[in-house]
Amino acid sequence: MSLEFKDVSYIYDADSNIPVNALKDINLEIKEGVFYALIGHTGSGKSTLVQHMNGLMSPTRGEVLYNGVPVRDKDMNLRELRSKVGLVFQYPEHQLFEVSVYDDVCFGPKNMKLPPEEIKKRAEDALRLTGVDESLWKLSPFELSGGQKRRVAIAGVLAMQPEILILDEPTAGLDPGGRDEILKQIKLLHESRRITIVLVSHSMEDVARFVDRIIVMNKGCIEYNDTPANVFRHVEELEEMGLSAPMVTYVMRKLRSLGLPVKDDVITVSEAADEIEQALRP
Amino acid sequence: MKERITLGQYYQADSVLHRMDPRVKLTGTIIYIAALFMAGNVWGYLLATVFLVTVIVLSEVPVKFMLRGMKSIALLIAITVFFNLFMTPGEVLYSVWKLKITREGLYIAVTMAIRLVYLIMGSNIMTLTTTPNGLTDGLESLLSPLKVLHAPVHEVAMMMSIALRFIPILMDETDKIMKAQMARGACFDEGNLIERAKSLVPLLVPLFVSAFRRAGDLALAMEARCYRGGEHRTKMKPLHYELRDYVGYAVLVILITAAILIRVLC
Ligand SMILES: Nc1ncnc2c1ncn2[C@@H]1O[C@H](COP(=O)(O)OP(=O)(O)OP(=O)(O)O)[C@@H](O)[C@H]1O
Ligand SMILES: [Mg+2]
Repeated sequence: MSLEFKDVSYIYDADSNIPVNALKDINLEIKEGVFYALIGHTGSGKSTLVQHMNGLMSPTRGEVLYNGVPVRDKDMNLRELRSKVGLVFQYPEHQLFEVSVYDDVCFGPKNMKLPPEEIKKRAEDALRLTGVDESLWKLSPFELSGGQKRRVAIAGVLAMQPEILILDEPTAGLDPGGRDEILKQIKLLHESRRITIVLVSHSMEDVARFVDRIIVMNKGCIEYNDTPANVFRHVEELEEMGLSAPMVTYVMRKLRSLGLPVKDDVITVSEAADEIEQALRP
Repeated sequence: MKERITLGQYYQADSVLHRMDPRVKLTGTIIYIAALFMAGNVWGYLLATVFLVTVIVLSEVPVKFMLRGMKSIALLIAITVFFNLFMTPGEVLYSVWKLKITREGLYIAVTMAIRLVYLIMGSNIMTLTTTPNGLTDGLESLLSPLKVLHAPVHEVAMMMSIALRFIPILMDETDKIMKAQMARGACFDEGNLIERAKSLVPLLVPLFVSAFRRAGDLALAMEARCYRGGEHRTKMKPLHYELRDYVGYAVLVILITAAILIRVLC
């Protein structure tokens, strides 16, 4: 699997009197098995970028290549591409429509024209993976809570067994408990299946401890594409973009400026605790 | 993929016409149409042309956008012209096979085409220079005398502006849901008629659910802010006539008088 952006630009309403330059010369390579976070202030172009990944949008200029083939090539089977590059939209629960949770999850595999046993297997597998309790499978999707619906919608994309899973703000509108659960489930998925994940978010705090790399977008450009620790070194620049580093990063920087010899590139609270303990030990 | 449709095709600019009171523009459109249909000779059409060209120049809207609105009715015009051209009995000018072009037919076809094109252009200018909300405000204010007859003018205007407000939202929503289902392998332009109809289910069900949810939310939000309908309700931006609006009315009076004079005298 390889997914590559080459000088991709996208302009909304190009022929109107107020064109919006949503992507500007994006160069990006999504590598197999890596857990990415795509972070940016609202309106920075995250959703636009991810919709290019499975051919829902095609670039105004430049090319998106999947395994070396341009996504908008004649030879590209878009339906197959979309089953390999699974995209879960913002507020995915708004796409549920079937009579039961189980049937809804079957929609994707059915469109792939798989045999019935395979559809069944994949749907059950996906529902289990996303932690949807079996007692809910026969219910109407409209009877579920917001968090449960969200899981079902994610399962609907997972059931296609994509090689790369893209989630556009999967935690938007959930309470902190629901948010952490979903993120943990995604992390688990990454660890157990080794699938490539792109997680869109506008909060560093939420994703920093889960991901391998962070891609920071600002006004249609990619500013950083690096490990969390390296990205958080640019606290000032991030703040200028309307983003912020996780709380612990600020604490560690403060401690350091007060003279405590701690590293300032830690991301999680437990790392920070260890680091401080180490520094305080005589 | 479907184009983004901007409803009422409002074109953002800051011309005299954009700033003009919507009531003047609404009245103006009606008067212009009346003048257009009163025209019975060259002078009448010349008058309408002068008015139309002046307004187009004043509106600062690129002609490209006006013509875009014409595309959708090109077929209608073509059909009208065709039937009038060949089906009007009278003095034969030219004949091919069974089709005869008559002098009368030619005259009617040409004037009909001019009228239709002018009519659409004229009303396009109004919608291009007035926001949908401006239009409903103007309409409500113009129709307010009907309140005496207990016509629910305010309610109708409110319904209109809510509907107008919702159309772009629902368009966006349709776009989103379509994309979300396409991401799951749905295809909306494949197969025979029955398959296509079936493929709309994954689009229509979520769309209706969301429309009802939004309607419910809006009703709740309005009630929570004590909305009680037209009685004693004031406006945040009341419509005011300014100098340019009086000038506008004056021009309209001149237009209609001239149209009547031409009709009577020539
Ligand atoms: N359908 C559209 N038509 C016109 N402009 C659009 C459209 N969708 C997005 N834009 C504009 O493109 C830019 C990027 O939008 P995008 O949705 O990609 O941002 P985002 O990073 O996903 O933001 P958010 O965090 O709010 O989801 C914004 O300036 C937005 O206003
Ligand atoms: Mg977005």
